[in-house]
Amino acid sequence: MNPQLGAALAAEEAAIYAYGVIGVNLNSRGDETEARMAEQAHRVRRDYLVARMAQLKASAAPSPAGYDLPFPVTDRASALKLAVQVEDGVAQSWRPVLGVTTGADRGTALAAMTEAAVRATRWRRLAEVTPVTLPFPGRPA
Amino acid sequence: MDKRLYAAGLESPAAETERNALRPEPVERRTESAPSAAHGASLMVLTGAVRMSVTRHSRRWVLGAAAGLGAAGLTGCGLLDDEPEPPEVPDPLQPLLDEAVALAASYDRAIVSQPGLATRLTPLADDHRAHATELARLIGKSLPSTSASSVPSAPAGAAAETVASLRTAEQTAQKNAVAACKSAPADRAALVGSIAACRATHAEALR
Repeated sequence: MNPQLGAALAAEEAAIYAYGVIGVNLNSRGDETEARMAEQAHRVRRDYLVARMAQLKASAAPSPAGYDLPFPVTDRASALKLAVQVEDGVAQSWRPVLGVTTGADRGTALAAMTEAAVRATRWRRLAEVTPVTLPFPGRPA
Repeated sequence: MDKRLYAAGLESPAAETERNALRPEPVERRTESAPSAAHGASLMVLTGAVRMSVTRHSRRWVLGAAAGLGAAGLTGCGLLDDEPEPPEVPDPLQPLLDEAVALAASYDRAIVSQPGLATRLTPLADDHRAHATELARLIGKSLPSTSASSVPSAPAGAAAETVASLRTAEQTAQKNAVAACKSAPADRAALVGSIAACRATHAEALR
């Protein structure tokens, strides 16, 4: 379970970083609220993973100070595109946790994956990307 | 005296031995007509023999219990050895598959009655069909083919009503998929989890 939790933690930390970049490139109150709520949700998941891994005495790789963005983020369109990509990536990172956990741990992983998938759908709608859903959220494309 | 006899009723040979205690030849007497209590007990276990005539109630009970044990034993053997396996135990994911097929069909009906919603609803119906295909493959069943033309069309309601009722159905379906994911074996958890997450995104898409 530890490598999977470690991967989910890395994805959550990357998401927190990415929302910093996304936030400054959004320009409407609605978008910004959305981004702030998403970032907060990722912080909660990050804290859960740090605590759970400490319980399991699992070591996590230190998070990098910065990340290479997959493309330049300079405006709303590219910010929304990054938000979609980040949430899809977070969902993908939680999916392998499902198979290595049971009970409450699996429930948490499923909730984290589902919430990321729902946020990806919200960002797609804001970005006017269709379709707004994926048939198998979390499954690598 | 009465009380003593009554109490001794269950073990009359002992009582008899006691009464005979003062007689000169107790051993001979015992072997002659009154088997020892231990001998009596072994007879009871093996055959439920005559000695029990003193305690009719107990004998009936013992025989009944023995018959019951025999019947239970036979039934057990029958289940284990004789009867074939039940032909088909439904897969635990069968309800999820049925639900995916049913959801796809309700989208198809909605699109027939509300063509204006087709652009919005078709991708969602396709997701459910993709779920059904994957689940059928996993379970090892072939999928019943349904097409929109074979689906009876629902009475045309307002588009908003149609969307709201689909959304409710998605929320229920999501809960069912979450439960299925939680009880799924490790090798199925990811697929079922993705289906649960997808249904949640559908509910979001229908807001």
